[in-house]
Amino acid sequence: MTFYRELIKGLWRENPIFRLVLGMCPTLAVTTSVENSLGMGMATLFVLVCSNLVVSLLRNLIPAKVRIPCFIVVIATFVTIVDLFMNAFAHALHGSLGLFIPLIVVNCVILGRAEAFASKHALWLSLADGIGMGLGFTLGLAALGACRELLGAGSLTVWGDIKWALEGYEPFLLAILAPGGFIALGCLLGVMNHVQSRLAARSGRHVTPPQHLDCRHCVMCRFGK
Amino acid sequence: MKQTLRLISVLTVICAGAGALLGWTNALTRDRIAAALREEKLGALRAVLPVYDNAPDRDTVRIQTGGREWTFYRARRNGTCVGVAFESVSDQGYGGPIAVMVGVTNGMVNRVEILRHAETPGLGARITERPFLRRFEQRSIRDTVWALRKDGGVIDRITAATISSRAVVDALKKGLDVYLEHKKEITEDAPPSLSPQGGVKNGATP
Amino acid sequence: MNPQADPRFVVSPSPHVHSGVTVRRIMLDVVIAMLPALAVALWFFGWNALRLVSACVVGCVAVEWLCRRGMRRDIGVTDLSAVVTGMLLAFNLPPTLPTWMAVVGCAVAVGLGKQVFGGIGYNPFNPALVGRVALTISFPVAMTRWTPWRVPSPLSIEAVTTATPLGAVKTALSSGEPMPYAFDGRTLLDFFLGNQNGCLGEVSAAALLLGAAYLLARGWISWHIPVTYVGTVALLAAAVRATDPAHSIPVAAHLVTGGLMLGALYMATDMVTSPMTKRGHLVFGAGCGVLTFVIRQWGGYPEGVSFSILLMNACTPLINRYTRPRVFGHGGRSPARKTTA
Repeated sequence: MTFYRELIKGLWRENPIFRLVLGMCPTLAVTTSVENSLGMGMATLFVLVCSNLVVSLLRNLIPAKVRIPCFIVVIATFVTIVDLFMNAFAHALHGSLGLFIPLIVVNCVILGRAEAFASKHALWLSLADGIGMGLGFTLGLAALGACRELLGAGSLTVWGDIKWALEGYEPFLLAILAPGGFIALGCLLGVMNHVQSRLAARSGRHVTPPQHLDCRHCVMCRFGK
Repeated sequence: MKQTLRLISVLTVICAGAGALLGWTNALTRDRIAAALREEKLGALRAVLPVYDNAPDRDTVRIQTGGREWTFYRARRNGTCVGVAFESVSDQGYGGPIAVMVGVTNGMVNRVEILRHAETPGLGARITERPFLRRFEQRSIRDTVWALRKDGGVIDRITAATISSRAVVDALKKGLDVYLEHKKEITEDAPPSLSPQGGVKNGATP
Repeated sequence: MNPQADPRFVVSPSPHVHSGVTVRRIMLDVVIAMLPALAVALWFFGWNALRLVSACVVGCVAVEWLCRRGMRRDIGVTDLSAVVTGMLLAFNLPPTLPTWMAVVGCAVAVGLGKQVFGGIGYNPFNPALVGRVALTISFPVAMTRWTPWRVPSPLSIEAVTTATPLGAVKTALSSGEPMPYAFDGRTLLDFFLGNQNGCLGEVSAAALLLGAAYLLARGWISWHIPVTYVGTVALLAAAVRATDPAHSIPVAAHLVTGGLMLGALYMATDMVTSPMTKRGHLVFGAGCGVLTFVIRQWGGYPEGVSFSILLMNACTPLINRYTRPRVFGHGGRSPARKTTA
């Protein structure tokens, strides 16, 4: 079941946000609400799937020397398509995501998957990779957006009017401001590392701490033990 | 040589394909985007103007003053002008420019809406909330001192967001000054039957 | 396994011989040094001071205990460092702040400011200031709400103000009104003794200086940071006052209002987050001074002590790198030149 494996790896094991730590610009900038996170996630998912498909199709035609310009042209095309369609059919969301839609072009996740996966694998697997990575990115953004919006605004805006708000909540503004993005991302990364090392310990596997990290004093994720 | 030609041809083909795809998408979405943009503007106009039966965004007066162009949107009911709306921008916001849409009727400010802003969430961003905007509404344009109470005017600021409040007042005041100065040209009626596009007097909008 | 990650292979730096000084002893002395300011706070703010100081101390100790417990580390709350953090945080809060916000501040201060980095000694930023700045950004209205305060005026009319002196000055300058204070000798003396509106612990420069004298006598702080910090502010204030008297306040007013004394004496001198060498202290103090004055004079906030100390905390590793003392016997200009240790 290679297809299935490529599909689910993006959700947890190689999650683009929490494992690969790619695409940090939209991750930190647009996760001020669940709605924005989902919108950005969907847009990225679409671009990722399309660019993976096209790159995989053309992988034997594109000469190695000009592969990066070719990938970028393909990615930019799909980003522009998303930009135009979102402007036409989800105008309000387009307004709140603003500049970050065109900036999907430079999202490392997309170029990274084109270069590392789609240009080396068949159409079928590239599709699975694109869907999995895109969903993983969307879920990561949504998780971060939910934490930040809940703390920083006391509400959860899923889509348009589908909104749930805490009454009389004094918002902890730091969470939806720029520093809150970094803090929330750091905390979620810590939680993920903690959970992963816990799971590994339970299944009896040995977890190697990242070589460059100074794990002697920090025990947040229990890598040091 | 053959290698270079291949690079060039592959890139050209890909770019041509991308161009074709984009052209097709653009043709597909162009009308929808124009409609969405217009709907966005009409939504703001509907919010600030009294009930009307024309298309204010096609019945405009343009006035050149102070180095920039102001567009005044006229709302009519049964042909008579019932209100005027305009957009004004202040660059004194805390996080960037603040754009407001102001509706004027019978020498009073009818309603105010914030169109664009980049103020701090939960603090300056509270300028978009009704309780603050209501402080401007139903006030006489001529007889109101358009300034914060702190600066000798009559508008109460938002606590801890003086700069943002002041910027909104600034945007409003600039626009109202232009309106008062050119009131005659703006409200002067061009019979709609003569100019279906409206606003011929001071340069019609297509 | 990577040998560097194994604690058994970690070579610790000196001292290898213990002098008997413990963290607890130092922290106890800091608490003692803060008692005069605490007394002033209780005198002026009464119940509110008691409420906030106890909430912060209990909150910080509780968060510290929970973090250590959750990380399965030695508990270590008996070193009193959480008590100091709690007291300093309370000193940085306005008297009317709701208790639950103070507790949120404690969680940020000890949790995000200290324990995520590994606890005492590993935090790059002063925990109490991290808590305060998080609260300032998150609850800007509550953090700038002051109780009405009777201000002694030279005309012996009791004016009531609901702003700190620096806040009132900033408002007056931005709206073109006349200065709210005459800043004559009597007003300044009042401010110096603590009769002004402000955060709990910052109002009385006199009490803060008294406590700092104790710390200095005990040798836990050196004069370098406070003197360069306050000196830089005074120097810049004098220069601006000389060139633009209409839009500035006297030098003495800068020194006795706001959080300058509290910051310079108790928070910039924090052993963990300030540079190691004396030369580094001078750079650190001067940097804090410049930033504080720039924010006070031209910034959007009336007071900038907490932001400047945090920014200079971030520069501390860099300062340490560039003020590293020369190793004895290496790198001298000439072998004949006499070396000074």
